[in-house]
Amino acid sequence: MNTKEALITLQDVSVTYPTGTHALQQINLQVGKGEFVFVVGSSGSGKSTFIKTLLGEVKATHGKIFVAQKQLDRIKRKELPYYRRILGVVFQEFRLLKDRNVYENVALAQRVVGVSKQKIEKNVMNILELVGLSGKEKMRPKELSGGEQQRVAIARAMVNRPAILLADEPTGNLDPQNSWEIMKLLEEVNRLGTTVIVVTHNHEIVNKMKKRVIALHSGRITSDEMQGGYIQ
Amino acid sequence: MRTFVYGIKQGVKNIVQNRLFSLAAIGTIATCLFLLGIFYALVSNFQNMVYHAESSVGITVFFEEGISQKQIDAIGDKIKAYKDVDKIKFISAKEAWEKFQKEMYGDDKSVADTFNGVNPLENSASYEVYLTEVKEQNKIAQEIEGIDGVRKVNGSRSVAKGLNSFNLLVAYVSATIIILLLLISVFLISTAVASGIRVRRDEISILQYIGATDAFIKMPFWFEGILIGFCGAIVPLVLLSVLYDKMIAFVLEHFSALSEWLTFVSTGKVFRTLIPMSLAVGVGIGLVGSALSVRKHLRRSL
Repeated sequence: MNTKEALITLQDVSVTYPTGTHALQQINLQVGKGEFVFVVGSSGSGKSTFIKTLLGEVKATHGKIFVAQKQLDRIKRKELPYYRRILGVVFQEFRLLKDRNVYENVALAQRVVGVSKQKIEKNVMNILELVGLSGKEKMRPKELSGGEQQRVAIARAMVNRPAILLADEPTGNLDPQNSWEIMKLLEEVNRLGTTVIVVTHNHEIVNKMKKRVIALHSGRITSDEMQGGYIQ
Repeated sequence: MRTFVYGIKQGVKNIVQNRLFSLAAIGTIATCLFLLGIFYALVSNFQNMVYHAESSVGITVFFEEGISQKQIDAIGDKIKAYKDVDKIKFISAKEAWEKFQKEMYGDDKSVADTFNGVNPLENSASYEVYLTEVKEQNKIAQEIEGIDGVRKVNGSRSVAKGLNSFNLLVAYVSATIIILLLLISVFLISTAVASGIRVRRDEISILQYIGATDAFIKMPFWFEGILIGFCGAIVPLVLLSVLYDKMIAFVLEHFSALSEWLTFVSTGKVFRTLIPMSLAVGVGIGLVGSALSVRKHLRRSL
């Protein structure tokens, strides 16, 4: 367990779906501020439920979850949007709006939280520079490579400067070179102070990056190692 | 304010992207409000005609034999005191006989001459009583029958009753048809908005993940419904404004025999009510339809 200030704490958390599936069982963990964590496991191990639970999309059926001092299992539905502003999310399939250009896709995240037009322009240009997409702001997603689309998704997730970045299989649709570039970008985001949690299947990346690795199996944590590797 | 502008822009975008459903919804609302306009014009014109007809439908009050003029005047005062009595007119026995002759024989004096100057309607002096509310005729006739000195009361009860029943029938039938059409419109708007929600499901899901509030997500769909309703109200208003005067001219030209009965309400008077009514109904059902759809389809994902 890390000694840093805990940003995420799960205490005896279980999630059982109405079908009776026990997706998470008695999960106890802490993620410190500024940490980089891989969550690994085979299909059906509970990785997706873990991410969905942190997003407030799935409610814990048992236990307590604290994220940035908010008790997630007690958050009311109308408070959920404000809670989600603490988080940035990146998905395997990028989930960009195809009818809008790079700038508009990223600016949407700022518009949602009510940032002024001038500030949006400045912030979006800054974040596009950080992810290496300067000069591509007018392009539509279909004109970009997979790696570039994922960079747009990361820019959108990061433009509001969230405390935590959740990445669900961010390299799942990318070739090895683009995968490494995205991981380097996530490492850079982490270096700038954001806590990063990456759910992945990619053994190579997990083994090479030497970060904290939490392994799930049948909804339970089977290992939690600092500078760990991928255990199957 | 920025959220408001964003909502309007996205609402318009939804309508354009989803133009087939939007046009179907606008068309149905327009049809519904066009019919509403026609029924409203019919009902208000019919009521206008009934009002004029009512003023010509009266009660006739006959007196007992040998009654003095003073007593007749006293009966007249009592009748005038009733709340729903508009005016009364005294018809003397002589006037009654002259009126009868004119109605029965026209200008032919030969039949009347056979009476050798004797008035056969000597005891038929009467009051013609006109009411402000024709539906009160039955009640007032009964009350007048109870006044001392009154022999008989003749009312055009069946006419009055018939006019009122027909007016009510027209109002009920119109209301039923309009309510059915409004429900169909709400359903169609709801379907158009639901289709927009399906098309934008990915966007909605992204908005939810990046912390958009429910109002931010729902607003474009509310505007979509309002705009559809508004457009659906404007189209029939324009059509009706063109057609109304032409319809009146057509009826007066082709049914000139009924011109005494046909008293139409002016275009201005009809539209003073019809414009706000149509806009309120159009925007109202647009909002209700979209709100129902948003409530049903977004609840699952929010």
